Amino acid sequence: MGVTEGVDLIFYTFAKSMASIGAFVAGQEAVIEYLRYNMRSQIFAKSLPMALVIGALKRLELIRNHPEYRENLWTIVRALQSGLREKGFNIGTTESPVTPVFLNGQIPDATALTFDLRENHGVFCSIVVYPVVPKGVIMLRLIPTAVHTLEDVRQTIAAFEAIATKLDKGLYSKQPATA
Amino acid sequence: MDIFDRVSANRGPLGSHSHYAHGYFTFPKLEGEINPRMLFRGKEVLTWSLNNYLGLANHPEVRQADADGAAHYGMAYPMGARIMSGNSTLHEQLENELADFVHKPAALLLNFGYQGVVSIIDALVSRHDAIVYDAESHACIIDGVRLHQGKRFVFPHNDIESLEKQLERAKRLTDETGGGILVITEGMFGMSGNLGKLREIVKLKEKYSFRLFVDDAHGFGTLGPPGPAQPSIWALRRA
Repeated sequence: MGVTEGVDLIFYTFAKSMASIGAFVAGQEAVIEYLRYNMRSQIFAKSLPMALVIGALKRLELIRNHPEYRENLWTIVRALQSGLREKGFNIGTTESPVTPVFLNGQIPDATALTFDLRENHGVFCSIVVYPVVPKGVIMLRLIPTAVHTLEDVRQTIAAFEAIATKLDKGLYSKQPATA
Repeated sequence: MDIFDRVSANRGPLGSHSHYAHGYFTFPKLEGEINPRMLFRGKEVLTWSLNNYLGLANHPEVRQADADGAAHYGMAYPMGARIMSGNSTLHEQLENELADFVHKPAALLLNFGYQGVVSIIDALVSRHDAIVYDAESHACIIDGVRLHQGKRFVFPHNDIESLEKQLERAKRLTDETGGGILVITEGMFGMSGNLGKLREIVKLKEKYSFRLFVDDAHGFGTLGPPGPAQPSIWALRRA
């Protein structure tokens, strides 16, 4: 059995690459018809507004006709991930654009470090702490996109080196996190 | 204890930090057009927090299509649920184009991803069925599984040996109930960036009878070899 056929039902969202809101599920006709008549979240909810439908058609057309967007995305992904690895960062086991950076520290370190990253290095990324990751682990998550530049990557890796050095020296534990 | 007293005193794992975190670490406001460089508290920041993978959010043709759609139809049309009064030719056209794009015979539009996945799981399984799912699945899968009135079995993230053990247990159970087995995982896991081991899971169909439901929310448009978008299950195609 081919793998594509082996996935019986596949779900995709419009909230990420499609840069909108909404989603869809795809599969064999009888099953999709069953869902159309039995999914309570759709039967008891208003239809997706037409403007979103028209917007989704345009986005899909662009994705179909512009493979270079995805190629640009991967240029940034490769530069970011190889750059971080070369500088000794632990980016886990990612095989996709999602780029987690794992650091060791407590929650007060995490808040002080995030503050430093935003205020002094001008880098804004998501931060994840316990209970999503184990105690003592700080995860910074980077989402590269097709519209980032290689200069953005260089600036970010330099900023990460600076904060990692401070974290290793225990400097964040000594300062209060002031937002 | 009064419910409102309890929730006012304990705001939950994240909410309990809100007194210092709100507006900065939680609920920050990124302002300006959606780009890598946006404004945070009036200062420019280089932003790596948006799942705008292909850069479509601020694409001029996208902005124009959104504006034209809203100008022509407003944000109300069509009114009501699709089953009652809210269907349209363009909704159906979008479904057909999406189905073609992902190489599946049919597609169904959903208003929201989270609710959609919860509701798909809820609609699919009966109490005689068993669900087997990856431990690092997104909240929408976990919450869909919570609605299930039959048995559920969880396997450690991407651990195929353990999945097989759980399939064995699920098989013994469904042999008794007469139900079926639904395996649920993700194509691309949004926290770790790991890909679901779909090839290995599909291979298990040679030994076990089950249906496979994959949430590939992050995979849409991001994975695949260079060149024209490969309309397929992207998570299977490593770049």
